[in-house]
Amino acid sequence: MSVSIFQVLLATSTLPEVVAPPPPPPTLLHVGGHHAEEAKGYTEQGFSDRVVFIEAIPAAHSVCERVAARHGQACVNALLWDVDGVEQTFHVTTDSNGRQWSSSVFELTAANDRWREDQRPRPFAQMQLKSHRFDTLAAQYPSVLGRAFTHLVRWRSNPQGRSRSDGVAKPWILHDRC
Amino acid sequence: MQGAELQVLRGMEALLRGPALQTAVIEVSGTELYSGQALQPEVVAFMRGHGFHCVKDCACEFHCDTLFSRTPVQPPPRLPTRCVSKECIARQQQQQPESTAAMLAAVEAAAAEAAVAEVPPTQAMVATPAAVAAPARRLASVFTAPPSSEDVSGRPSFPWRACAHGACAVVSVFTGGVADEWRNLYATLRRIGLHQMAEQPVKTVRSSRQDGRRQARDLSRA
Repeated sequence: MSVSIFQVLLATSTLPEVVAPPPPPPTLLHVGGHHAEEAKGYTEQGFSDRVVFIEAIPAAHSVCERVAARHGQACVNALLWDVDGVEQTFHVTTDSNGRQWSSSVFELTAANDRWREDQRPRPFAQMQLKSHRFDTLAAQYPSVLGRAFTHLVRWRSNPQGRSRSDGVAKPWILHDRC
Repeated sequence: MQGAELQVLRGMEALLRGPALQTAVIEVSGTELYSGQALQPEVVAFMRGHGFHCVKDCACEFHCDTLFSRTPVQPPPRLPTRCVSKECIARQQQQQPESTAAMLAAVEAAAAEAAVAEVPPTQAMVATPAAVAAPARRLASVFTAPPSSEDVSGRPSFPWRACAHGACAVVSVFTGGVADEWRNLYATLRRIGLHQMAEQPVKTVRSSRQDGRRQARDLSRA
């Protein structure tokens, strides 16, 4: 007896259908929250209150926490790194308007001059911050950081980023799920 | 946090390896703006190692926001020609068909090309029911004779057809992945006018579910 490939296909159609579980709701982790400028945009794009910002600078975090809370979102104060408990010298920078953007553990190089004058970050201050692994924080604070995040955003905390200043999240980031 | 993207990502391995995370937008630099920072190729390689494809702004000279996705949003189209040489692969990459029609046209061209090309003796068999086979006269002009059992070292031309016990086998050569195999099957069936059978196999299965169950029972009994 011969069996055609079409008969094989027909035979496999009798297998029980597996119902896929519903996808998790879109949940976003934004590293480098600054003042949570995108909070409103995320809400409008369907993330609702399922957004967590992480901001390293304590002063910026207090603003971030307040703005995020208006939308039911959260803002955590932490310097993320790949090792826990390391004292890091954090270089705070400002733009031409005195706003503190683009801060980093690393120092600026000469290539920084390639930015436009009004966009160029300038050294402003230094502070000592203790580093944390995200995985460690997620284990310690599972209700906030242990969620099933579907989206991760880590972009520039200053208006050099094309959408940062207007507080609107980039649509091409979110449309696949929201 | 500027410039520390790679360190941050290394600290969230559990999140990256988890099934929930589907999309990531990560600011990267192609130029060292911060002393000691990881550049875009390192970040892309790290993300690739965790199952993320770079789908937007993947070649950054200065500074950009790169989009990563668990699944490639726009997978590169694959051409049907079975390529081995670098020249052929380069030619395929240049062609880049934009539509299904273009792809099918390329399939037909490849089928004509394959008829005269020497191919490795890798084989797979596709059996077609004798009742729906094309007229014998047309088949004779399409298929070559099957190689003899002694001629195992030769390189027979494909496709060829063999019939026995009321069923015919169309033998073609599949050398690539599933997509290549489908295209090769399509090209083979196209030459005898049965390509519509390969175009919508899923629809055929769904519409004939009851028949399929009956046939499956018959097959199991047999």
